[in-house]
Amino acid sequence: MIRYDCTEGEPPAPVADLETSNPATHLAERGRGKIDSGADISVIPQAWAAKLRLLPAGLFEVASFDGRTIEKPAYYVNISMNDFRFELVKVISSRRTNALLGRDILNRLKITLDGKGLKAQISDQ
Amino acid sequence: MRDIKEATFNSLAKKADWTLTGDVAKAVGVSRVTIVQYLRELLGERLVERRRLGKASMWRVRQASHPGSQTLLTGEDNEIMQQIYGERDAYLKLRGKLLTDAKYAGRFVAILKGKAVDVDSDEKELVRRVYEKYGYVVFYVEKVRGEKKVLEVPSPERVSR
Repeated sequence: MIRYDCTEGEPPAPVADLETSNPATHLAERGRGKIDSGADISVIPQAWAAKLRLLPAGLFEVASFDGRTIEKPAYYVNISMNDFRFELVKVISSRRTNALLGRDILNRLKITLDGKGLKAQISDQ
Repeated sequence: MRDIKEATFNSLAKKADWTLTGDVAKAVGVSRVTIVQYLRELLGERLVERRRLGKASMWRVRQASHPGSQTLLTGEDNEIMQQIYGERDAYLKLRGKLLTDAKYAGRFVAILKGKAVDVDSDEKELVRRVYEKYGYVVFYVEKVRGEKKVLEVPSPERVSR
């Protein structure tokens, strides 16, 4: 069970505690990730990418809500969340303070959102 | 304490330019004395850099990697980015040939130092092998296909001021 975050802005959003780590050095960073089923790919804060000393392994062209596109470096990371572990997930980074969990991760899980109750359930069955 | 240090780094990471010590303290919501302690720690960890301006100090997230280091800091326009663009350019030059080769077409290829060094239909297996064989280095992974793929991260977020 995860709670909606009511502190980072309105309206509240489902946010999970997670740990990202460098797949080679295992440097790790803990933080929070907002569930974003609209995102094709997960996003981590640029500050985490720096702390984890991530090296790029690709480039992605990414479109925002208004259709503008930007090219971003992609990194492989390991992500742990609610007893689930995802290895070598290809993510991009941006100047934000929390992560975005996109459908690359969400589609491997069963997630039930209870917006009225401001809580969400994550499982894999 | 870890939160303040993280908030200090994040505050600087959001800005492209140098920031005065007092302004960092204000952004993080702690005293000047406290922020100096954390900024010095970050300086010691080589995550930020300092510039003196008379008696004042200005700070920013470290922009460039050290010679011989593979450390990526927040700047996305540094030597490491030049490497990844170089590998992508090499892939684009090779793409026509790879598309006509059954060994590569529709599979993931790893480009390192301008050459296709490995291929697999399983992206994760490919990446594991490359890290095992070559260490943690910059390389370029792409699925060999003709069309260009654009990903969407479309959710607008309201910024509170």
